[in-house]
Amino acid sequence: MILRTKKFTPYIYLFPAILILGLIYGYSLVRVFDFSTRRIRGITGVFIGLDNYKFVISDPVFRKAVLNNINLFVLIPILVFLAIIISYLLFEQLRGWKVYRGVIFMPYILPIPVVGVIFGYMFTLHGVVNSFLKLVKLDFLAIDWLGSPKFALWTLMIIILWKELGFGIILFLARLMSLEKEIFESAEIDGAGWWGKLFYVTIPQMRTIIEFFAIITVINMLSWVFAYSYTVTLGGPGDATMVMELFIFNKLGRSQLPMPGIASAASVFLFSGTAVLIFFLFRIRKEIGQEET
Amino acid sequence: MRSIKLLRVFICLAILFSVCGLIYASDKEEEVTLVFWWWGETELQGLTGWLDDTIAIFEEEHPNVTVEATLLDTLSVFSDFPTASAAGEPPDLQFAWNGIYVMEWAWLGYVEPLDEWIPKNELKHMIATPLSNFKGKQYRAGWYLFGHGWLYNKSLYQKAGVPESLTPPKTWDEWLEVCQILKDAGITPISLGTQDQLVGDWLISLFLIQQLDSIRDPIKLCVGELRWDDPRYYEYWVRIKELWDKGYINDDVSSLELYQAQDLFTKGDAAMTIAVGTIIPAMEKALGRENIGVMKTPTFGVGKLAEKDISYTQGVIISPGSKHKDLAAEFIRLMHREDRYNALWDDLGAIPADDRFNPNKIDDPLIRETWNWVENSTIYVGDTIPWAILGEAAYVGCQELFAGMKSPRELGEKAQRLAEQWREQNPDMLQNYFDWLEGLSD
Repeated sequence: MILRTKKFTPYIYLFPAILILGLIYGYSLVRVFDFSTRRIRGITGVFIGLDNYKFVISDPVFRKAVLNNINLFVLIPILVFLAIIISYLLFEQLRGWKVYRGVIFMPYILPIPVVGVIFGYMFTLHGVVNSFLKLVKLDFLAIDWLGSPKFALWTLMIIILWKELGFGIILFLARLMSLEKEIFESAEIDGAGWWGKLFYVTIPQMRTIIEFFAIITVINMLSWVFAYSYTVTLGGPGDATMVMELFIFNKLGRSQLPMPGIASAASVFLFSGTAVLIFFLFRIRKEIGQEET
Repeated sequence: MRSIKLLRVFICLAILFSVCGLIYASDKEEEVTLVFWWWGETELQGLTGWLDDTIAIFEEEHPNVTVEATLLDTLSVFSDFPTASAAGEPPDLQFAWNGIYVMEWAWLGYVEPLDEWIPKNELKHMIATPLSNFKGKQYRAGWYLFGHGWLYNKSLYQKAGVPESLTPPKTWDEWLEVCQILKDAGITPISLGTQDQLVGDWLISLFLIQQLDSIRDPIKLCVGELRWDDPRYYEYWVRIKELWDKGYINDDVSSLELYQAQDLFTKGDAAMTIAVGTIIPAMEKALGRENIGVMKTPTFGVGKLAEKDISYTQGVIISPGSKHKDLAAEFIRLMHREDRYNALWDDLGAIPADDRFNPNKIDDPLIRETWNWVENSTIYVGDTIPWAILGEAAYVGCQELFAGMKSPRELGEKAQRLAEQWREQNPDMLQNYFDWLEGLSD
């Protein structure tokens, strides 16, 4: 017997889920767009058109924040590359690899504020890092890591790298563990060396998970770095480490007269930027998938 | 017949019990929770204990009332109260900094004028400064106050050979001379830290004041009647930069926070630091009372307020959204009762913001000196500048100056741009500023 259902039947079943998602995400998104066109006082305000967008675009601090977010993309290939190499080394089961795995993953489970405060102390001009560098006669490297606008963002990147690398390694290692050992053995029989196995066997097998990690990291660098910037440098010195999230936060939470309208306009930019980027990344992935098939 | 009589008796008894019950119910007071969001432990250690004692007394005197006190972190003082007020769930009582911090909330309708809840003859004693007043109404009651200036290490002065006549320096040239002597002796003259940006507020308030003729000037700078990019109004950055360029400030100023920089002073690694009066007891304990002196910012300014001293008054406000404004006002009155304001001094060495407090009780010579500043003090500049300007121009500005990102002139131009932008973004608030300005007199 063929069970026939009317066309709209699936939508009836989906309706509760759509309603819940709509309320949770849709409503807040609509409100953000609505706020961005108003001068909010309290929980509402007069309609001012696109003025808040104009204020945001003309604000040099916001422009600098966007630039800093884009600069953080430098971390993506570094994170991916290091995660692949280290996970592959661990996969080779070097002596004590389980201990290394634990140690490498530990930074990832530490709360970001704790990391921020500790590194904030370590990287002061006369802090532990510089004291060590001077001890080993590397005085020329003893710079003002967080106090100099030239180095502050790079220092922040070091901290993010240290903290986030563990996630990539564990992710890749889990994928490597699920691969058939025979593939590697066959490659070895065919004469593949360490690098050969890595580039021609391992990486192609891990393509999907690498793409996933890269996409997650792109999103992180755009909209998940607030805690680092806030706890380590407060966006400073000046606006040297300002990021879009911190800009939004400052307009909302760090003012005795909150500016939700301007914060919402900046949020719309951040949301749109992230959405566009994710759309293109998925599109690229789809094209790659089609080429492969 | 008998049954009818019994029925009548029964009905009478029922009515009697009902009336008694109603009387009992009306006699039994409603259970009330008074919520107080406060701040202050950061700058005045031990304030929690003082507040706990005050709450215990209040609860004893009002058995139906429970006071829930929540200690806020510094950032939460900015954001929590307006957010809760906008959501219609504010605390009954809220800690508030002075001036613009309370005024902008008041203009949004988040602050209750105290005149209607506290008798005038009491309110006038609760020092809140004119910056808490708007259109003839007082919106804030003072809590405690302190002088604001510099601490210097007498031992390091002596070690470096600073002459008695320059201890402490009073003019700018004298200050430079003292700093040079200290530097030549291998001692860091001044410790500051800009990493958390807080010192920006202190610097603008202690330095810019010297270039002002009137307490209305900083507000005029914001509403456009004066210009931030006039060299007179960024001269204070020139002076601070001079100290930096000559090597009189710790070289790690950009990587230290305000209180880390004060630690350099506490450890005897720097000869001077910027400070609020409430820290004096802790410093005396660390370095010995005989080794510390207090000094005002040496004079460089040409404004009529150049010789004025700086003090600060912390305070408390009542929310119009409170269902128990009368009790909130009662609590403020208790904070200002003789036993409680004396306890502020006796227990914590803090000066209560109440003019009934007998200053002769201040037996600590250093705090006594800062009390004299309080008596000769003028406004705190940071309290008159909207955060949208102050946050970027002073807080971030001090970082930019020390990190070499902006010159004093560029910082003046930046402040001017921020003021113009703020006026454009807040046209509805501008009239309030003009009205506030009208109400202030020198």
